[in-house]
Amino acid sequence: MSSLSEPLVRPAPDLKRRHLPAALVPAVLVAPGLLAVFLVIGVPLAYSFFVSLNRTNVLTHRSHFVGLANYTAALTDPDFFDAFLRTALFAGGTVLAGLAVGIGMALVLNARIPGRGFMRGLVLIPWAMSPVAVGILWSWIFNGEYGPLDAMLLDLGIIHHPIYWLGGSTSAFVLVALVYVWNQAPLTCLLVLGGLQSMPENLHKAARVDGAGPWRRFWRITLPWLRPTLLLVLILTTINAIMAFDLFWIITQGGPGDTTTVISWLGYVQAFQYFQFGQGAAILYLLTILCLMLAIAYFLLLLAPERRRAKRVSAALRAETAPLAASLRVRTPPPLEKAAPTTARRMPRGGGEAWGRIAVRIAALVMLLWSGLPFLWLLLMSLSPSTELIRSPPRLMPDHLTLENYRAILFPQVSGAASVEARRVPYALWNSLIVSACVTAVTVVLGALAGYGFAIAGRSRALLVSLWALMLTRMVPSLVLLLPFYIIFRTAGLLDTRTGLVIAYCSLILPLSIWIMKGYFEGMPATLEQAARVDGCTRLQAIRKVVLPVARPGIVATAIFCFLVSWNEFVIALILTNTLASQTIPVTIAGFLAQLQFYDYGPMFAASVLAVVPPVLVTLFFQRALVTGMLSGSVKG
Amino acid sequence: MATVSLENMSKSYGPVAALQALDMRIGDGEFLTLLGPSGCGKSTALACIAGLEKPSGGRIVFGDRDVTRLEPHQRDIAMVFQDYALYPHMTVRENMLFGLQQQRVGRAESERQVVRAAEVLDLGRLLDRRPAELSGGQRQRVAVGRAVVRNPSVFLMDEPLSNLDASLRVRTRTEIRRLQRELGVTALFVTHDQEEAMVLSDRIAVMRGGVLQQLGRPMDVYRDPANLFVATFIGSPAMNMLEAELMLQGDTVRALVSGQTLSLPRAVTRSSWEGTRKALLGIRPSDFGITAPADAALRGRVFLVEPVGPFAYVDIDIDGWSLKGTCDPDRAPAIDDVVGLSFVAERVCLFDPETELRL
Repeated sequence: MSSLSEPLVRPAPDLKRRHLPAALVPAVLVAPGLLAVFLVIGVPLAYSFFVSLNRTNVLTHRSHFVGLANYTAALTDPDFFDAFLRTALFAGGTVLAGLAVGIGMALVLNARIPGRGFMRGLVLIPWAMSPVAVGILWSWIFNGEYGPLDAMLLDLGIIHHPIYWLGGSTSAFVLVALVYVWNQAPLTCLLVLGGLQSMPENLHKAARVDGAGPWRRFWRITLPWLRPTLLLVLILTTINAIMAFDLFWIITQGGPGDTTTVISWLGYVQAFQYFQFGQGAAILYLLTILCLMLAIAYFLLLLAPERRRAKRVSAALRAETAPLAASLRVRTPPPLEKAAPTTARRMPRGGGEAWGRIAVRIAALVMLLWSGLPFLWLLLMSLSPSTELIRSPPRLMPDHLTLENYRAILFPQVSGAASVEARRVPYALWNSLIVSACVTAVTVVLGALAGYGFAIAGRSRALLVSLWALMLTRMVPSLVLLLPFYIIFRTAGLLDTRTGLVIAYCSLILPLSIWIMKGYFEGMPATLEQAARVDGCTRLQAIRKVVLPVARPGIVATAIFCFLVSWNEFVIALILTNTLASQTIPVTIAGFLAQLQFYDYGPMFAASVLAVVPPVLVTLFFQRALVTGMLSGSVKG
Repeated sequence: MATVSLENMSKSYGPVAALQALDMRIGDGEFLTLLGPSGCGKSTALACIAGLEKPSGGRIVFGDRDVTRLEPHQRDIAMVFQDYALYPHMTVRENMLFGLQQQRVGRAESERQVVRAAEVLDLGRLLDRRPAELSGGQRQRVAVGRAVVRNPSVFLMDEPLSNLDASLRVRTRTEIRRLQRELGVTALFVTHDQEEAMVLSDRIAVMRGGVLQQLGRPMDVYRDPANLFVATFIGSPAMNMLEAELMLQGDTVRALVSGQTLSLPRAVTRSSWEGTRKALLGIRPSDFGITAPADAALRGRVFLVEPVGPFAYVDIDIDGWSLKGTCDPDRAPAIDDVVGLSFVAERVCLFDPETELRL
């Protein structure tokens, strides 16, 4: 027997330490993040609205108030109407296709397949690549003169003349949509996979005992379980699709003709090519309103019935508190009549399982090719000499491989042949790295604090309102904010600086970071922090010493997410930067397109590879953290 | 209705053997409990019987039907899961209907069966609620109802009571046993709670490390444990164990326990040996009484008294060995008293310390 005869040391409580009033803690935690969001989103948004009420004379740079004239002009413009239809078509098509592809991939990745961890990383590659690199890659694949797709078809003898894929109006539109789905479906897959993994295993077992086959289990058990996840996916992907811009810039520039001119492109052209800020702002504001309305529609359709039901039932539950005496009187239930034997059962044969496994393996193989092949192609092209890339008729495989392209962009001084654009690449990589690191640091710190604040806030009305306001900022296309940023930065001297870029990127990422962190913290048991406080921590100490270390997987996932978004961002950097001082790698790659010489094809692909290598490596390395850390939390929101 | 026969059923995950050659036959309408600590293979065995896992070897036969290779729904079973696995997006009614619909039972007939089962389980008011809107006990009843309504020939339950609070657990187990009796359905029940197993079962199968330790009626397993593991696992608080030196002397077994000699009837062991041998001597706390130290063969010092209500446990220190006895709570000794211990000699169990088998 052990004994406690030796007295244990009893720590003396520290009564002198001052504590923050409990009610204030969430507010204090949330304040910095909310303030930042207000500054980088609220202010520009308001300014943007103001701009949209004015019309600027391009020559004199004078602007005058015109009221809603810009809006009426846009709404009565047949071009706007056409662009609206194209946007709707693009969004509808890509959302549905992306949903099908994403759910399919998630189901395969959730099954027991060999090399599942590797597959999970691989599937995320297209999403980790910056849209600019994706655009470059695919527009080259579809290139009518030199493209590898034509090369393959010619080699196989399927076609005899090259096809100009992006020349046809319908085909260009469809191909951009296809590339967009290729790029975005992994996000759906990631979110759905998170939902699938949180599903109790016994649900499927119970359904199997009940006699539901795989197909029926999917429709009756899995899909209903994923409902909140799918709502989130629908809102996210629809808004992303409506705001899609980068791919159009790289692949089609709104053409041929105006057949791929969507609203975002229209607004961009108005504001930043014709410098008609007022008209551009009005168009982009209309786009914002469209996003908002859609989000509300989804919410009403998918979630509101659930909420109403929950409210009704919880009211009913409150109404019934059976008196204790009545509940103690246990009555003998009536004897159970022997139920009639369930006849007429159809017994599906066993055996289907083996076929199912084969089908899953085949699907996995298709996914492998779909996600990995284009990336490998990009690698191959970056290793091909420029002269071989532009052979006519095109050929699939280069005759020999070279590292010359990489030498040209990494050591421009050494290789004399490097063009102006190639010389920018090392600077651009450095800028990208600095900017992404700063943005990640800022957004993760502010996001973690605010996320935790929201998570513990409970039912504080003011905080709930600000939370919804935060969610709504997700509906604001970055193009809308870009205009005020441009104007404000021009005055403040922040144009073409890395600082300016970091500020602008915070508008893009901070709300998301707060949202993800909030979801993650909500998933953590509240007792952890309580235990720490009983052990003598102040609230802030409890957060620092217990909550944050435990939340590390979620923080890592958020950090990866922030890094990916800021590293890959294109349009903000395109507008706000223009020299070596701050230009990032996506803009530099896009710059190759603007002044393309044949000898620059190789370096362009090499630069693209360098642009996608960091995010791809991060994704491959941290795929587990991404799947489990981020999504288990965020999906609940 | 059906008998269930397991013939050399085994299951391994890679190199890990979760079940080793399990062989047993469960009679038609019998209530059999698989009992053991976590990781003993009881849930694996149940999953194999349900068809959720495929056994690595052996056969599973329901009645005269070999179901080893059949899918769960082809086996005519119903199952209650530990976390209930109620479909969260369906109401209670839909949850109960789901299985019937899958089995192509007519709509009207299904509805009738659901209503009838709901009445028996007192779920009538709850039929249009979702699982999230029910209390733990109500959820549990729905899970049972979902299984009952299927009218299966074999009823499988995987720790269905472990998520309930103590008083509800006692009430629910009565209900489950009554239902099973009335339906006359063969039932397999998995639990780690030995009291639950004792109360519910016709027979108990005690398992450990994937191996069946003992199969028998509850009181037989309790009184006549096959080995040290069964003896200590069944019964709460656990059986007291003392190191002893044994000697056979005609009609008695002499046991030397920490310098004090006890005589036991010869019937406590079926083995015989020459001279002395080491053994573990087990006595259940309920067979251990407190007496005056003068007229007792065993004496010790009291270090704790735990009143339970109808009786009190007394913890006694004998030469550094801690024993638990029982006494009338109104006549409990004081702490540090030296007391005598009386015990029911016929109920003593002897074990070989090496093989851990009963002597």
